[in-house]
Amino acid sequence: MAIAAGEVMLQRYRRIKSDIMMALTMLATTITIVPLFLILGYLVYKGASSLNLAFFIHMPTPVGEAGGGMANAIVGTVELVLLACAIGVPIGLGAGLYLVERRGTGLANAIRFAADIMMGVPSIVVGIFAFAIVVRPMGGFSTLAGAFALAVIMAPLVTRTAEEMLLLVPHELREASLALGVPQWRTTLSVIMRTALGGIATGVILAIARVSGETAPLLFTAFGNRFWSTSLTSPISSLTVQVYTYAISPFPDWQRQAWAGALVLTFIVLALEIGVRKVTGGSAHSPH
Amino acid sequence: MSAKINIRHLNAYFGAHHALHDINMEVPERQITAIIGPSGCGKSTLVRCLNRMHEVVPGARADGEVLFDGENIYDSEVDPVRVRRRIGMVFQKPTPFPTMSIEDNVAAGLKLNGIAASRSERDRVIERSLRQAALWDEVKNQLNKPGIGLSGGQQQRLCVARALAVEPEVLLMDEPCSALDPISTARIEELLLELKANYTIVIVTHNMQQAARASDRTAFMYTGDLIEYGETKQIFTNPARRETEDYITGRFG
Repeated sequence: MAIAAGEVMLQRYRRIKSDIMMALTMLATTITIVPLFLILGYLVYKGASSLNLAFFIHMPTPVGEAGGGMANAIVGTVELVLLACAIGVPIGLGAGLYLVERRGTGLANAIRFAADIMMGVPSIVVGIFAFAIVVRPMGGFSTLAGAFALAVIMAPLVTRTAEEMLLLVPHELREASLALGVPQWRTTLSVIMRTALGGIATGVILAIARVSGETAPLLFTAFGNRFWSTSLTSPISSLTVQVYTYAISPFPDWQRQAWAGALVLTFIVLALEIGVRKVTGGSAHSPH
Repeated sequence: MSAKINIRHLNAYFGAHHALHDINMEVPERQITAIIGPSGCGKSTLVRCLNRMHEVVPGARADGEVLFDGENIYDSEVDPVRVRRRIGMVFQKPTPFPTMSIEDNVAAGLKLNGIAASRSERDRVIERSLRQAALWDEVKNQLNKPGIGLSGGQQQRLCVARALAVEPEVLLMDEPCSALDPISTARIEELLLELKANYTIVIVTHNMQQAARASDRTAFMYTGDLIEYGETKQIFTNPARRETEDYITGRFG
């Protein structure tokens, strides 16, 4: 009887310990999630009132003049990100493919190591790098320089996701294709890449979401522009830089617009992330 | 009996490991040749040498001669891709391409090899291959469904159909039934006997009953050596070598 009573005590003690631990993890989860909703809520509260059709289709107005919008910044962000994709995604895919095809070689290990380091480099440093090798030689700020900086951030993200996704493709599929007399390059493209496409697309979209929120690397590359410009060789406006400029300005009207810009940016990134989750059935694979 | 494949002094290696020792054997045309032996004896390596799939593994190489209709497929001028189009292969695990429908899987060899085919030609090849693989009746109404939605046995027959669609002359099968249940296995064996009329078949198997039932000739391998090779009946009833007898009577392996 004494032993049985001891066991009951032990069980109760375990139950209490388990409950405490569960409560602690729930608390930690709440603390993590609450700021997200606070930020979202505050953004909507501050930004929604300044958000109207004019914000999307009008140009910025001079100081003192009410109204206006960020049409140039929205188009600029889209242009910068598309161009960054055009540069960064093929390089990332190619490097990821190399890491898989030449797995275990010295060069592959070096590339993987470099990609990992690049993912940890502060984005402002990438901006300085782009300033040194694109802005200075070209003699001025430009869309190209901004897109280059964003591409430098995207490429290692895409490289590592592509590698991980390609590695998930069973080795047997490669052999099955080769055994049909399909050449190596065609096997890689039409079987291996094709099978990993869903995962790779997820990685690319997450990389897009990441760079569309970048401000620092654009400050001294794309610089920003108060006027309409889509030229590759002129400075171009972007939502992030516009928000930054407006937010630190002393004019209440600009500050309101900064909130609206931040709200739009946040929803673009949120929509991309939700899109990824929809596409992959709720199991979006993070490259981080 | 004419030899479709004539293996002469074939050696195969994985890095420093010498996996096949001086194999000499003739594979007769339009017959089923079974290769048996314990795990790791080199039977898979041997069939993979016959369509130059062995060298796909990093660090693997082979030397010696494999004469296919008299032509050495290891000649430096021979393109391994062309060899594989004439000598098809089915693997242990069914490997339908997961992104493709049933019909696309069957036509994969044509499409990925850039062989232009009209719509009606393609349909004809798909139907012929699926009929040859005894799968047509089961899938004819769902050709556009994903290949991976089929059962394991159906998937394996789909892989047979896929291999047959490029019209090879030889079909190599590396333990094609080891992942299948007995009913699916019986289907594949029936299929082998039907295909024998048109194809030369080499099958690696762990299942000695399967070798005895389905094959015309049997090779017994042990630790990278070809121990004995002859008529299946003779190998199973009156083996010449002691090792063969020990293996088929279950004394080891």
